[in-house]
Amino acid sequence: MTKNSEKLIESYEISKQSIDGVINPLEVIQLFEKHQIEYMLVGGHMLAYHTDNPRATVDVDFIIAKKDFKQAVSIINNVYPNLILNDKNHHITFDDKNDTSKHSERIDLIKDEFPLFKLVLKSIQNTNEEIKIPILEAAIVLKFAACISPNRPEEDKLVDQADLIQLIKSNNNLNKKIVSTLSESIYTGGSNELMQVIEDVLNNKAINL
Amino acid sequence: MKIKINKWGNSHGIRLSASLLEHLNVKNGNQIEFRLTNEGIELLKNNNSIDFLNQVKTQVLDDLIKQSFPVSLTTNPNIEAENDYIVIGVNPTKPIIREVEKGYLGAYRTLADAKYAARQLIQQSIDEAKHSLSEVRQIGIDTIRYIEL
Repeated sequence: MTKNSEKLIESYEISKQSIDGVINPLEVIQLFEKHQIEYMLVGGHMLAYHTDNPRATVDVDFIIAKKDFKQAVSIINNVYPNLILNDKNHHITFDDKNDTSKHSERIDLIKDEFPLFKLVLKSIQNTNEEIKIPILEAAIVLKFAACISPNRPEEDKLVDQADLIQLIKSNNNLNKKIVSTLSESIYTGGSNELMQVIEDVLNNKAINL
Repeated sequence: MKIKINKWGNSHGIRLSASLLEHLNVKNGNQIEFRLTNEGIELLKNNNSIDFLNQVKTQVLDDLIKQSFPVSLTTNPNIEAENDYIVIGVNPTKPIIREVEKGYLGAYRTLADAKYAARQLIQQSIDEAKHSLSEVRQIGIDTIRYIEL
């Protein structure tokens, strides 16, 4: 087992301690690799990978290329028949029927409908193994996009903001050109805002998004 | 105060000193309203600038501070004290709590009530600031591709 796999196992183990029925991300990754699905692991496990600071997460999140989306849904349906498919328009979640809370999702397949998601699918971290995770710059921009989205619940955005700070502080040698290109795909001027946020975080200033 | 009339092309003009311009809240090149009165001509202050708004805020704050006193120590903020308390929200992100004499219009009876009102003011400001941050992003931009998850 490589160090990269270990990080994902660690975040899975932490999640397992506090949430019933969580799915092992490596298990799903192996399925997608086997069926040559174009995917990218994002969400809480991505954070664990980049920050060495894993936290519990209820689900395994993937961005899936449009061409492979139907097949990916079909694979998950077949392999995890106990999970309930829940079509949420821009993404499909597979939920734990025994979990009555609003955090019942265990696998989340996200359509690459947004320009940023399409770019992220191409921003693969070189892990020397069959795990497709976005490079740190892409991870930061994804978290930034989540932080500024008015569509996300406030409580989720508080976690997003804490995640964003951790990601920014995890490496001093960010490729600003990549960050800039990716963040401009959210909105024209997004690059300036994120660059300012990065500078503020690195100078230990409070940020509010 | 007397001002000399000077010829200016085919017309005549009067000079306004820097202090008068400041008083009128105008700068070189600005337009100014005037009206004819029984006594002569009245030049009207420019009340439409951000600077003027800030001047008014400062003036209101100064007046309220003069009418009130610093908060004195209390052993129990939940009981009525000798004075009442006001929350000055001229800057809602930084409300000021002051003591006022009993019966002051809109004052709170206890320090605890005034603190609660101040916190509400700050919280409301934070909520409004977040909303306006979203609006600022949208200004002059065709589309923001927000993640809809």
